Amino acid sequence: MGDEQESEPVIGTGNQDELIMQQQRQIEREISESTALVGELEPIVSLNSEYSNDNVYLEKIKDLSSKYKHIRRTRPDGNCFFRAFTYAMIEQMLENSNELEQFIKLIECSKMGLLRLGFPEFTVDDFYETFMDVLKRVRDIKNVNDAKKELHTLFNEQGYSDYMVVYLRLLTSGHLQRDQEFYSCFIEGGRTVVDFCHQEVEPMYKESDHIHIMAACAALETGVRVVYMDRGSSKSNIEHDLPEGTAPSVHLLYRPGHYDILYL
Amino acid sequence: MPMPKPEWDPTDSADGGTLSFTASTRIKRDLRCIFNDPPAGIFVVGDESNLRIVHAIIFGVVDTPYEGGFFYFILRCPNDYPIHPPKVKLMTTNAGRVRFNPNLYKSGKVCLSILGTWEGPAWSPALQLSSLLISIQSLLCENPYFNEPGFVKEHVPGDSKRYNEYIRHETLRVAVCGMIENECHLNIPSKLREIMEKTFLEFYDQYVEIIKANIHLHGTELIDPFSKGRFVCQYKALLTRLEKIKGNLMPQSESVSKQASCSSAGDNGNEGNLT
Repeated sequence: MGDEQESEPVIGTGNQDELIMQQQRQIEREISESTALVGELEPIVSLNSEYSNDNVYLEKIKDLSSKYKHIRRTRPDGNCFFRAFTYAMIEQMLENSNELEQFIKLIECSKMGLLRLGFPEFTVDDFYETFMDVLKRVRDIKNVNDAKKELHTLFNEQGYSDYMVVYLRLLTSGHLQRDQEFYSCFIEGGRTVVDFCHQEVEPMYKESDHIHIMAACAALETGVRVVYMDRGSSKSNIEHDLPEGTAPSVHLLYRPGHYDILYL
Repeated sequence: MPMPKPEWDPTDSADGGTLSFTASTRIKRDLRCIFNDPPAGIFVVGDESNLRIVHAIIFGVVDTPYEGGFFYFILRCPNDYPIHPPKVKLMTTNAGRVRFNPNLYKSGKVCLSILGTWEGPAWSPALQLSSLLISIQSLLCENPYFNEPGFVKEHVPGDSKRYNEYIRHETLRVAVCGMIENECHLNIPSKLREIMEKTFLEFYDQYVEIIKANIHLHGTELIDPFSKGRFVCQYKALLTRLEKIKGNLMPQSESVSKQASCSSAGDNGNEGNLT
């Protein structure tokens, strides 16, 4: 605001800053978009190529490969937790039609919960409909492998994929708001739970923290194991089950700032 | 080499690709929501030839220096709306000459975190056009001087009041007279023009009141503490301009009778020496 040039805004120094920022955003976008929204299954050792001269990480990848067979990368766009979590959860439910039916029922009821919290129906509808549409489409495919392929295709179509992410973000926000008392103590900076939801949960591209994961798990009535891999001194990776004590249905690899899906 | 238009500018028509189906249905629903439950002081029409473009007038709220002004915005929704926010431009700038607010540049740029043009809470797909317009409306506040980040205290005592005087004058000059006369030849949709003209007539007495209350400033210097620009206050000329606009807008017979009642009021009060 104070930065507006009062001289004619042709291409003076004020616009230069903006153009540099614009360029930076463009570069970030290009890097991010070169990764598929959700990638193919890859062996764990494929991670080695990212850390060829880094013994700390190579050691940890070895540890990881003793427990997990595969990794599925997701696009590092700030939505990775929500995208990875939803994908992995639906994918493993394709093996168990009862679980999937129950999940569909849970999602069916979830919209009402959001409306009760005051979300305007027409802003929620499209995301809900898309979420249900994807669930029903993969349910109606008899062959499990074909269903998995369809899920993969849909999750790599930006339109579907982003709408799935938005709906889970809304459900996560809804859960946080319903259980404000519990979650308020995890929020820093004197913000209310509702502020936090508006600022850190509902907007796309906002990265996820512990609190997002706890609330997303609670909203979908499931558990997730997060394997933390960083430059820390321990030889093995630290595992965290969220919510604590819940059997995980989804396994995620966390490297600072990013989540990918792991397969046992 | 042609310079790229700045990213925020909705009048840049080269955004490529097509509006997704979900985006187009959602824009329609956003508009319907505004028509069914119109926020006070916000008037909106969709563009006739391009679904992604929305025209909006925000009417300056009473008891602010923007009181009675017509602030015309163009909104352009991206292909994946509402995943990303619309681009927004303020068109009421007297052709890029008036900065109406620390957050509203004279280039038309709107600095607002939900538009991604400022720091703070980002856009969310759970927001909609009406919530966006209400956020913009809230920028047009009682003491806009303090909208400037870090300006919790006046740099020079009296700055906020001086800024309000400047904004009040420019609101009447640019956002009222300039908009009704369409001196900058903006392509304002006819529906919004009609609303502006009707609102102008309804609000006319209030415009006169505002000028009366500030007539002592006529001929003095107005200072914009941000640009350090200095302008001569022209309230007397503005009053004449307002009267002329009113005369042009009123159906012939009505305009005669109203003028008569106006001049009789002038006999009793001190209105005669305003012009």
